[in-house]
Amino acid sequence: MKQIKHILGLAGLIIATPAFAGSVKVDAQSGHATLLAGEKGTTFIKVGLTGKKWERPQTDRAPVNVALVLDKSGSMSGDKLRQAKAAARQAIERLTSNDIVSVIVYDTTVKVVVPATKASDKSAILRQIDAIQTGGSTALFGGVAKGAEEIRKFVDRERVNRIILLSDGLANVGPKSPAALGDLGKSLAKEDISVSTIGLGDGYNEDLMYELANKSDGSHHFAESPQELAGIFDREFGDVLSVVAQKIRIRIQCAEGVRPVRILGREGDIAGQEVFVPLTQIYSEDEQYVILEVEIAPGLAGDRRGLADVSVTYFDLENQEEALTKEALTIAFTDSEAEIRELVNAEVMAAGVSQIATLNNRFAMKLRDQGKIDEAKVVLTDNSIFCVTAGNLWGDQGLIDYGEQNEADAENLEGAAWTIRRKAMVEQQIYNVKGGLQKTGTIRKSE
Amino acid sequence: MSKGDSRAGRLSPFHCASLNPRLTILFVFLVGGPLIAAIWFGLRIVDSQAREERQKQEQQIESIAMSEMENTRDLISDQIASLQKEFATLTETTLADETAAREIPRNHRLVRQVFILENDGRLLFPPGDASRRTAAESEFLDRSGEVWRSQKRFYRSYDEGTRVSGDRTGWHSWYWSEGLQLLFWKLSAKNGRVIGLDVDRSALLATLLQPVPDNTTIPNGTVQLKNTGGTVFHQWGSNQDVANQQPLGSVDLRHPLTSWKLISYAPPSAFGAGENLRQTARLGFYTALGIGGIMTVLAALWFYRESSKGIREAEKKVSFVNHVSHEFRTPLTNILLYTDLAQAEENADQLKRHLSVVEDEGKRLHRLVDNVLSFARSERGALTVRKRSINIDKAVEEEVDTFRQAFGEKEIVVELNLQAGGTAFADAEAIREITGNLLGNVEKYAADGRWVRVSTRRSGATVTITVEDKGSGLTKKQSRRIFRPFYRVHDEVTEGAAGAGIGLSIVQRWARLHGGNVHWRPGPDGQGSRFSVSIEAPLESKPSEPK
Repeated sequence: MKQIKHILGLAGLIIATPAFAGSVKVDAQSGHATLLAGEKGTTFIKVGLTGKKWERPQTDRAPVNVALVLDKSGSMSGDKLRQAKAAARQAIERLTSNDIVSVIVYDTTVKVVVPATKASDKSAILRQIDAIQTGGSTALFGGVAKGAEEIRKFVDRERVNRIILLSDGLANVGPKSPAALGDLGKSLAKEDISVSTIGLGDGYNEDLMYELANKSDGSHHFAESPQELAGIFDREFGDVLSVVAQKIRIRIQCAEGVRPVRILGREGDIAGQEVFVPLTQIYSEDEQYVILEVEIAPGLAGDRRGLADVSVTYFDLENQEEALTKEALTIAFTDSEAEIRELVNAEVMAAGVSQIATLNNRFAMKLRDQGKIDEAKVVLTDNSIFCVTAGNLWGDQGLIDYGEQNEADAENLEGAAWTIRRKAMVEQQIYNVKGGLQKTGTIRKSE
Repeated sequence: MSKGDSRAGRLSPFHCASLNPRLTILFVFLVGGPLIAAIWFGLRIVDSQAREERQKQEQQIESIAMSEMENTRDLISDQIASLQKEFATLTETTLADETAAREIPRNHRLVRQVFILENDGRLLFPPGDASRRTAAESEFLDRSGEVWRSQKRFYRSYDEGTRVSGDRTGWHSWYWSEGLQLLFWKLSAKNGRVIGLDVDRSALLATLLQPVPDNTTIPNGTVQLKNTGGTVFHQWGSNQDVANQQPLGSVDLRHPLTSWKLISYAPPSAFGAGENLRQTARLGFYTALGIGGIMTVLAALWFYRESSKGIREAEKKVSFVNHVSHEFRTPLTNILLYTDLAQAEENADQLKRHLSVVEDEGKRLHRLVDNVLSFARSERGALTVRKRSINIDKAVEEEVDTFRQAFGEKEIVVELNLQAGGTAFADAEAIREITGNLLGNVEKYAADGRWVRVSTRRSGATVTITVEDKGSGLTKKQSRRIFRPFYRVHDEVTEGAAGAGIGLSIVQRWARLHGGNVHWRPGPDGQGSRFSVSIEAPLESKPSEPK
């Protein structure tokens, strides 16, 4: 803890703080309040972060710094580009003169058509968007790099950074592997620039889009038809314009005898007992969470031990200040399995299962990629049962729905439908990582 | 020379040519040969100039491309240098413990990992105990295994280092997975420890793209940032596919990115100006060739016609000689015949008649010789007017008198109306020849009219001599040609009335030399001919009478 104090220089803030100090409600919980004595136990630690409702008037929202990175390669011609332009126009109309916007287009090369500028003269920006024409290949990496460069011109801790990337094709100029783009995303996340990726049609590489978005804590959308773009841009801008906190750093210091096993879904690192998970932004009235799976050394019945200390720092956009929230978790040991069951935190368990189910879904997808269709089918079917059972057990409708979807996925591993199906699966996965299953109306319904 | 002058003149030059295949072949060679040679040489010159221009342009574009790339390379080097400084500062705070060492990669976008080496080369961080390492740290040690295995090479790069505030700093590169991996290292002057940073490849590339321009000044040019393996990291300028384009040149990046290079491309259209020049030059050449060709052909045609005209002239002269000889022959025959008769004649009256015939024929011969001489002089340009004081009416009457005998024999009535009056300044020979030729024509061609009127008239300094007859006259077409030399209305030597075809031509030349002209009109009552010759012949008493 001393180290954190040292690094952040926030000594003054470290007091016993209530869970709802600033614009984010931090809710650290353990899946189990008690574990069976004398045995090695496993549970989840969930750190839930809920953005408070923005109290000040909407016109007083946090200003944003958005880079639109649009694909104008040859394949975008026609309706795709037309709809993309219309969606971008409509989104830019929502910005005010406090916001910064830049527009970058890429094909084989990258052009900054609107350098980072205040969104006060919208007509000039819209004219540039209208003038975009298609042609060439797909220099996706360069596009994102230039987008980040434009963002950096106006970096401000009070401004919400976001790159919105649209692509309908495979990156073929510059680095093109999901890993390379993931690294770029991870690097951008360190600067609190998140990249939201929008895949259009059936020709883009969803793994690359997934890595880029997930490693930078952005979202990912799959627009099967160009008509969906307007809605997606609208949702994305809705998110960006409702950010209440950013530069969120979650540190979970596991107590002695508690081994952090893995972070489920999100990007983070585990160094010894310390777990570090960065998040870029929290939206108003929206919950994001981090699930950590831990292994706990056997304890004696009746004992209560420290489980973990959770500290969350973030920049509170509403109050324009750094905020720190700390919580301590404990675990007790008992011989009574009934007591254990009774004290299980259903919400945490459901969230944990959601993340594991998502990982299973990804695993099945990888098997399918390797041509192991039968094995993938078994994994998906098992995952479906797992989700439905857990959903019923923990009373989570999202899980039940996801279980049904996995069952449908199992039936759609072959044929022409697979390309589209896979994109929908990836979109759902990244949504799940961001706690999507615990939100309402979150399943992308399968045909 | 128009058609219808003579039989030869009726034929077109081409018609003539077809009559003479050798001339045609000569013509084709004379015109075609030089033209083909001109085309060949011209095209060679135009093309070689265009080639030179294109080469010059290529060199120019190449040098622009090279300086642009060198500029970009320097910008990238600057970027690397500023990173080196930034990293030197970043590693300044001695990383006391693992937590501090782990904090750097969490916050610095370019740093993926930190490592610390003891002064003996032993790795202090990441920890040797795998259980104390994060997944990323273990992955880093795997990835950089080659670096630790061949520490010799790593250490050697210490020498290349740049000193930053007492400490040596530098870069070390190796290859793994996607390609070049970069380490930053700082050798502490204080304790001999090395603090190093594993640079994130993607983030580094994104950073290096910052100073890279969006465009190149070369029209439709393209610049690529590539590694030695040919992987394109970034492309700017045009969005064209450069697979089929010739590179203009390449520039290697500096240490530590020596395996990366910039390559510049331009499509053939970038040299468009040279190509346009070539097109323009070619067009100009073809235009000049076209005009020159047409002129050559016209000149050749003109030459051809001139030479065929010469032939026609020669033919006419032969015909002229025939006619003149024939003209000579009749009076000479008569003279010889009547001289013979006179020698044998004893009757004085009869003898006198014979001698008068000889005299008439002699005069005719004299006129003929005068005509030929005058014509010859005028052809040489030596015909001149020698004005003296004469009585024009008298000169005309004397000439009429020489014809009286012949007119009498042909029953031609002569009317005279001479009113030129007084002594005037004129050439008597000219007046005699004018009158004589006109009267000779009446005798020869209009005898069937049996009437001739010769009149003179004065109007100021101008005297008009008019000779009218009632013969068969001329058509309009004939009237336009009668003054040309060698033209004869009836061109048959054997025809009753013979002539050399130069009489009216001489009349015209004399009249013009004398400041006037000759005109033909139909005669009185619309038949026959009426020749009016006007000459400048001022009255001597009033020599300066203004006109």
